Amino acid sequence: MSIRNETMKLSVLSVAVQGALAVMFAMPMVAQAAEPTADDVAAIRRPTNFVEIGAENVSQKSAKFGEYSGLNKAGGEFVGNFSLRGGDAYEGGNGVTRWAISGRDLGTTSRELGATLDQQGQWALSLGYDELRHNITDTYQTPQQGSMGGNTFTLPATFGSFNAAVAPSARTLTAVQLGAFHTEDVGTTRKNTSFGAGFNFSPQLSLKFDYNHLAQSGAKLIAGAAMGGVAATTGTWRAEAVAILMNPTNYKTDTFNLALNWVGDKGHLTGAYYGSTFRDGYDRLSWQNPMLSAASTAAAGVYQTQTLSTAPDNQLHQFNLSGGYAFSSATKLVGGLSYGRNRQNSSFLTGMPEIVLAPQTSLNGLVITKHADLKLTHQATRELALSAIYKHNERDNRSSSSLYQYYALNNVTAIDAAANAPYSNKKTQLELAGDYRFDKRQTLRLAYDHEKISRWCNNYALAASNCLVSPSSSEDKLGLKYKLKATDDVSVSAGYSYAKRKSTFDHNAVTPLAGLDALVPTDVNAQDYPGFLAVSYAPRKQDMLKAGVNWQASDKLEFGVDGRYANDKYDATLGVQGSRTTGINLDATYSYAEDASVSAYVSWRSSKKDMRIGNSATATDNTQPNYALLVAPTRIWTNQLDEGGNAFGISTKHKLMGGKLELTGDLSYTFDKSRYSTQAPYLGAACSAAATLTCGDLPDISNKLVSLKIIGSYALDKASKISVGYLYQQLKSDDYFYNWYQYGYTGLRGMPTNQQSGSYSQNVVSASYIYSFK
Amino acid sequence: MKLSRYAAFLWCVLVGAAGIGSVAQAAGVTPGVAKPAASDKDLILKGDAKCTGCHDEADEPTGRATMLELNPGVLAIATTRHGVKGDSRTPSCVNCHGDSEKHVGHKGKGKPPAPDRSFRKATETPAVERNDACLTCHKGDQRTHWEGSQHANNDVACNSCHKIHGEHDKVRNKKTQAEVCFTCHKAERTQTHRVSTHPLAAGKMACSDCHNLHGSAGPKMLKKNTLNETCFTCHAEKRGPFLWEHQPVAEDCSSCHTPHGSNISPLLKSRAPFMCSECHDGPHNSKAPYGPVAAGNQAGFTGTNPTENAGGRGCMNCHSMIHGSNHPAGALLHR
Amino acid sequence: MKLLTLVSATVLALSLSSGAYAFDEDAAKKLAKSNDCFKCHAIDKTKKGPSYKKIAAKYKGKAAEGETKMMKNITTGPTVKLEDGTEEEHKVIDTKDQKELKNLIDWILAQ
Repeated sequence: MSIRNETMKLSVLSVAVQGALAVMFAMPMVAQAAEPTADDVAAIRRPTNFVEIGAENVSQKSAKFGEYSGLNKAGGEFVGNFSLRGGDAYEGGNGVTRWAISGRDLGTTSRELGATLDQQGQWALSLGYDELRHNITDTYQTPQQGSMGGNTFTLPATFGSFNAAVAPSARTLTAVQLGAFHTEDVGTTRKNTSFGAGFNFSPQLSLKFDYNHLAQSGAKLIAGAAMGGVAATTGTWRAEAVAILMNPTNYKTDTFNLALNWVGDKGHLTGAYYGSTFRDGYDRLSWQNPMLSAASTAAAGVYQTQTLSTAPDNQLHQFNLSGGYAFSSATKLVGGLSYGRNRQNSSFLTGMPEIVLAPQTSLNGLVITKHADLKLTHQATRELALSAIYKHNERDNRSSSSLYQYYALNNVTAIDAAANAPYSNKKTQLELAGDYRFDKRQTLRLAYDHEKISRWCNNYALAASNCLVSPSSSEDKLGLKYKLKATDDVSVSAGYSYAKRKSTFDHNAVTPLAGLDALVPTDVNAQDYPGFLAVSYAPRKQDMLKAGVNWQASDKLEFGVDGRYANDKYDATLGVQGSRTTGINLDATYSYAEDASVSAYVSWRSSKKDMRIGNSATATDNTQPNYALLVAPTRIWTNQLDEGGNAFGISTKHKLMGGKLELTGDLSYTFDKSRYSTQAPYLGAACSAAATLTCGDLPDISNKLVSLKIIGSYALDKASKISVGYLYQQLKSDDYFYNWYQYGYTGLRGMPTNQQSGSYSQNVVSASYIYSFK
Repeated sequence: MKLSRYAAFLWCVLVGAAGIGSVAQAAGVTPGVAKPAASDKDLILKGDAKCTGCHDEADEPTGRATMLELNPGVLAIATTRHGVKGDSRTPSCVNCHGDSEKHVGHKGKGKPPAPDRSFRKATETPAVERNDACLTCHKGDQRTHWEGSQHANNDVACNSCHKIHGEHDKVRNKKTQAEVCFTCHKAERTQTHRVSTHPLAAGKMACSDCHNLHGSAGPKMLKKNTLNETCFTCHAEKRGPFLWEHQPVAEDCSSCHTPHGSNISPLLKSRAPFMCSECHDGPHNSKAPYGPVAAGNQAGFTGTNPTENAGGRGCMNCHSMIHGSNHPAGALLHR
Repeated sequence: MKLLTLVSATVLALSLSSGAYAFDEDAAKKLAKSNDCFKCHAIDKTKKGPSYKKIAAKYKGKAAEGETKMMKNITTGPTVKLEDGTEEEHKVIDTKDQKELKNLIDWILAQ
């Protein structure tokens, strides 16, 4: 009996245990069916907040890789991102308060922070901080002493000056000189702080204010050349001796925007003030030149100090008015007016040996900008829509103009003179267009554009002359675009436009490029040979063709192809002759599951530009006081710029493990190349000889970028996610630009910098924990 | 008889004219549908009960159902500004989608007809009508120049770029905006991967930092009246006016630069000395031909003095103040 | 005896848990969502139609009958009575795959 009872007990126990085990095993399936309940509406209403903390590791130091991302140093970086939002507007009642704070990339020099608070429909406040360090190079070397971002650079006393007129010059530097070179991390940092406020007087009338303070520091690289003829201990310093310097970007730009908006039933109007103040912390950049000319000598530790000016302070105050009126639902008129005053009155640098005569102490610069636009759109019939647009833009430069005397870089014996030209221009545009809808599937658009530009100078000191060679240009353009929905799944579009530009020329204009070694400038035509027309003004015919096809092959698969071809022909004996550009893109997207897709693209482009330039052996052929006296050149050389590139990319998104694991992958490849070629038949065989290399193909400027990014996020539970990412990125950059600045390869009058092209090969691994909550 | 026939004819003409005049409106739907009355069955917006009777939290998209990954469908509008019902301007479902009586009243085994204004991908509602729903309230200000703008002319609808029923609208976030634009603007997509670019791929700039995608008074939908003015909003150091100006700089930055990306740093269409020869053939070395000597000894040049007129920065080794100079002795942009 | 107990215990235990019907919940929900089932049937609240919990409770222990009834509703679209008293044809699901339909029904009965 007892045995039977015991057995029973055991059986019950075993049932209970096995039942429990079975239930536990089945638990996940039950628990995951977290059915949305009424409480979930409240949850749906609340915004998703998240905080992300993690770290990433960059394998290689590279300014180019971290150009804008702040990941220019090898090693670990903190990853921090967050977004928090709240307010009673999310509670489902009648609350209208919303607040938000967010931060991104907090561990890098690309960090961003923002906060907003508003009562929707009533008022709003926002604050923002955005930092961006633009890393330019970390391979630049210089012997100049002075901090990056500063404006005064000096050579160490032990550096020593040297003869840069004969080899080896800076191509062979002594051990002490080489030892003075140090590497600088060159970059500029922008810190943007912004404040915004808005107030709604009523649903129709609102006021918006935005203020932005941009503070820049750091430097960009610039070349500086020394002035020749300046006395050293014996002899003179080398003319046009080139050094690459860190030009400080010590700037502050303050921007204000105040706008009053009124919206009515049929019309709306906005009146706004835009102000922008730019201040430069430095008015000059000075450096020292160690290069002497001929057998000159300088005292030990004595160098030639040279100065470059920097960007002058300036302000812009602009008033804008824009509005629209709907005469009916079919006819609408929109227009705007702007008036701006842009002033610049920074004191000129004084006391420099290169300044011979400066009739003013500052420019007293004033540019008035005017804008007017009017647009009328009219739905004439169900099929036909018409539009007419008129635009007027004017840059009226009222700055004063005087004759200045100075020494050019080549010497301090012959005085040069030039009158500054305060350039003004005015652009008027008229566009008339019609869109005709044949039926639901076809539309045709016809548009005619007319554009006229006038250029002049007010107050030009050389009063009898134009200050530029092309006082006006006008262009007419006709365009046609056809769109067809061939079937439910296929749509096609094709467009063609033709533009023709004409210009007027005053080849007797005496421009600022007019008078070396003369107290009164007299050379006409900007010292260009007759027959040469600058690319911006030369008469031109432009053909442009665009076409595209989109095919929705199935619910999941979509293809797109589009191409464009542009052909410019210039009507000029000398100058740019023509350019052709072709580009094709192919896209495909395959969404093979609800949470999964693959998309890919392939692009190809090719362009070619060619120009004819002339020169002659006689200096006076292009420097005369009268156009009729200029002599057309017979020595013609040609140059072509051949550019091409292709790119492809694949990206995929996939959800696995029932949505717990999300994978995104991105692979992209971009290749671009630019090649210059020069031919000068008048130079004969010597042209391509190694001793001159005047003709031939330059080495390609080629850049190849491969990038593979894989990110996997795994949901630990309702609120937490772990994200792991891997990025492989490689840039192979070949650019002859840097050749001249390498040690031992500079010209005789150039200081090396060792700057490299920025190729890199990076592996970045990141891991972060993301906590989301509502 | 004659009179009634005449009257009938006149009536037809008037109706026809009215029909033409109201071409911008969809059949039977006027923008400005009256706001529905609130009901205690409303889920998110005032008067949405008619719609949320079916489109409620039970109908939200499924995924791995967790509280946070509900992949909100229509109800996520609650997290946006369109979901703030305390603001008297906030529309209800029918104000954008139309009264849609046919959709609401549908009975039967098949799928119901689309609402009066449908914003799905395969919608029959033309872009102009979809846009009417938005422009009724969002007119003026940034959308002043919408009609006749490049996007409007190409049948781009507000919902082609904006997501209304979602917590995150990709185009209103700097990091994700560009990928939406690239679905149509393929050329710019490849340009942003080039060696010299604005920080677009890095997510520090968005297309909307320079362009007003809703139309503008400037060229190519740029925010300001002219291209130069747009560039100066960030690059104010180049605004000047300078004592010595470089004419193409004063007129048009795109004479030399191409903003979306270039193979030639910094964002140049071409480089010195060749680019300079496009406008100068005479002064100093602008008339001299240069070939591989610009690439120096590394390219096979056997001389000891590869000229600085072509190597490296070329002309700009001396004429470095290329955007203009305010130095009294800077007429040739040396200083 | 012990073996029998063990077997029956296992069967009982398994039948106690919702793992009784082996269904793919995600697939069932996807099918339901794409056919607008949730527009009328919520999982636990009454809309135009009864909630799935109510349906599962109704057919508890009568799985076969429930399956037949539901299969009829979603494949032939007969007239059904709504919660508010009106009558309407039931929506027909747009797949003919029996496995998918059975999977959906199994999931509903498991609520």
